[in-house]
Amino acid sequence: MIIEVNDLIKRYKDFLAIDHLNLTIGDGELFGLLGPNGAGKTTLVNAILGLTAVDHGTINVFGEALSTSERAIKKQIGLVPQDIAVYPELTAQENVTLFGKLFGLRGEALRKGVADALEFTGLTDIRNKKPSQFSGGMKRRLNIACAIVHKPRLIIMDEPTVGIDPQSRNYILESVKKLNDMHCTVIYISHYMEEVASICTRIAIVDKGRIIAKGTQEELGRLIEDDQVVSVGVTAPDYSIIEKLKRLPAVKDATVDGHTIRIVLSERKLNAVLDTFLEEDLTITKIETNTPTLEDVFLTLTGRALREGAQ
Amino acid sequence: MPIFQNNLKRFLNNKMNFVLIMLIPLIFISLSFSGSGTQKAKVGIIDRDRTQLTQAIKKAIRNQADIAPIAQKSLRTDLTNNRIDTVLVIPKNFTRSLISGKPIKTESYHVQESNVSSGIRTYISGYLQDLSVMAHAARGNSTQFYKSLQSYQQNHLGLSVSSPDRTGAMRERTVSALGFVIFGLFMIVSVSSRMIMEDKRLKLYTRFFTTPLSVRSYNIQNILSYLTLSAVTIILLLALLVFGFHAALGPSLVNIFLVLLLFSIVSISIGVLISSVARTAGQANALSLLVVTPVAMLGGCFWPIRITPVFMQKIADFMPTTWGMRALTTLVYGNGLKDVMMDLLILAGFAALFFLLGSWRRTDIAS
Repeated sequence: MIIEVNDLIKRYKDFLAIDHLNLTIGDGELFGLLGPNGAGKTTLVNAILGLTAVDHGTINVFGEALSTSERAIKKQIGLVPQDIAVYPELTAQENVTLFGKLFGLRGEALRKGVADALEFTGLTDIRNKKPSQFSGGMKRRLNIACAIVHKPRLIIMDEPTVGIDPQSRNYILESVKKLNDMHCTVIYISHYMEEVASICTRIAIVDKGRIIAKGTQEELGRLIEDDQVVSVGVTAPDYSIIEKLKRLPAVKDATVDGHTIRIVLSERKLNAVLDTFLEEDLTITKIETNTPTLEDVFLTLTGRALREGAQ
Repeated sequence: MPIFQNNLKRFLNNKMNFVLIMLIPLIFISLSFSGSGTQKAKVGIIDRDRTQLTQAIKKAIRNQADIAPIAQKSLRTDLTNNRIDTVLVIPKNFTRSLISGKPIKTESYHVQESNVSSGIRTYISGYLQDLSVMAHAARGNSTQFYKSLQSYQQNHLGLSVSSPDRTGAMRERTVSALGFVIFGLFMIVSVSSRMIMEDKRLKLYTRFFTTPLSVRSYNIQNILSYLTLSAVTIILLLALLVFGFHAALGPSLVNIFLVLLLFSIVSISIGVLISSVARTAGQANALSLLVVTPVAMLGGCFWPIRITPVFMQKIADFMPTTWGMRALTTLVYGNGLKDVMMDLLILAGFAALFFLLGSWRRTDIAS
């Protein structure tokens, strides 16, 4: 096992950030940690890296407790933090070199590590430029280069695509897959379920400091395979209908997204739903039934949308 | 030592740092040595003998200092109000006693804490001693004595007069310049707290500890980098004082360097304390400004503490700048390290206290 977390508890005064959390991640996995903002994902990462003291529980990384061989363990981990944590006054190469040195690289190993990291992230041509001259996507790639300069065994990526254009996002997602193909275990943390769904081999859904579900995407989908997701298009959505729909016994959840009302049904009782629309005198423009997505799984398990926290 | 090297690089990349700890002190040091070169001590002479010899003494003193009129009854007021720096009282029958080889007695008054008159007092003392030697050689013969005096004035006046006064005034100016060196080094407070806060603002502080770097190593490398910067600053400013302004830095330049280096450690410790208390770089900057200038002023970096009100002098005892200035002044006036041991211990105590307070509020790195 690369990571074993047992019965972890972390409190910030009265707030329970991690609540009896258990997690195992195997060697070579591309593991997705999915959850809304404030779910406890970053706190979990901080606990794994020894950046925050835990109130209860144990964490083993590479089979050892961090407290017993912290330096050796940290030499094999690379963290891509949520914030772009680089020096704006240093060039890309100087930033990557600094982290190479912090990870203990010297001489030829350092030179090669820096060159490889810049090459991997596509920053070789602009290595002598400062991050202040970079686009958001380039800065994110530099953030990654600093974390992989020492060729770590485990990479933890905390929301590495926040605030960048789709092209850069795709570049990063492809890079993550490449790193995983190079026998590197990756923990990919995001509240973008489509990203997690597209690259991760196994996923854990975190909410309120607990892992509420984990498995492959198919395994998670099976949790709500009897459910039916219906999207109903209306000309003028009335928010009062959401409350009425939620009162129906067959409806697990209902949300409004523009002119579409998305309903998760535990039983296939579409007629009762449509009757409610008619009672409200709403004009229906379309009706679609969908296969449950990760978002639906999350909705079903937690009763709220993944992006709520972000908004 | 990646953090150490990186800090030096960041410091050199930021021109504002040079302005803070090099340029500002440089300007003030230049001011300390300009304009004040012609300023002479003000001497009051009460001549109760009024002879050819006492006229000669007055003439010799006039070449070295400004002679101000003085009356016996206003002597104390004139001295305490700095209207006069020192007073020489020549008693009746002084000339007769001197020429006949009897021990001579003059009275002199000055403000004890003041160094302004030290040069001229040394000169007068030496001059009177020379007169005694001449009287002894003349064996009571006044004609022979006055002949010798004339020859002495012609041959030695220029030589003997300038040295003591110049040293005294130069020491005054040197102490004043060292006050600005201390002020420059005190600016390290602002530089160190700003650089640490910048690491925190950029989230690098947290990211560093995801690598094998420990908090202790980070702190030590930071302190060493600021200490190196301080040492270089001290060397440059001392070189400027010695070679540029021919400052009178006392018998040992190394001792002055050591005191300044110890003071830098106090500055760094205050910077570390501020960075642990402040939540943002802006707060750290504001706190640094609030600390540096008043503490420098109270500690006598800009003007002598003795000219400030008594209550401010009492407050000054709690300022590290006071003890730094005290140690430097003592060294400039010819004393050694053992004479400033208490000042150094107090400075070390300040550093230990601030480092302790700065590391007291350690919480989770992540928070």
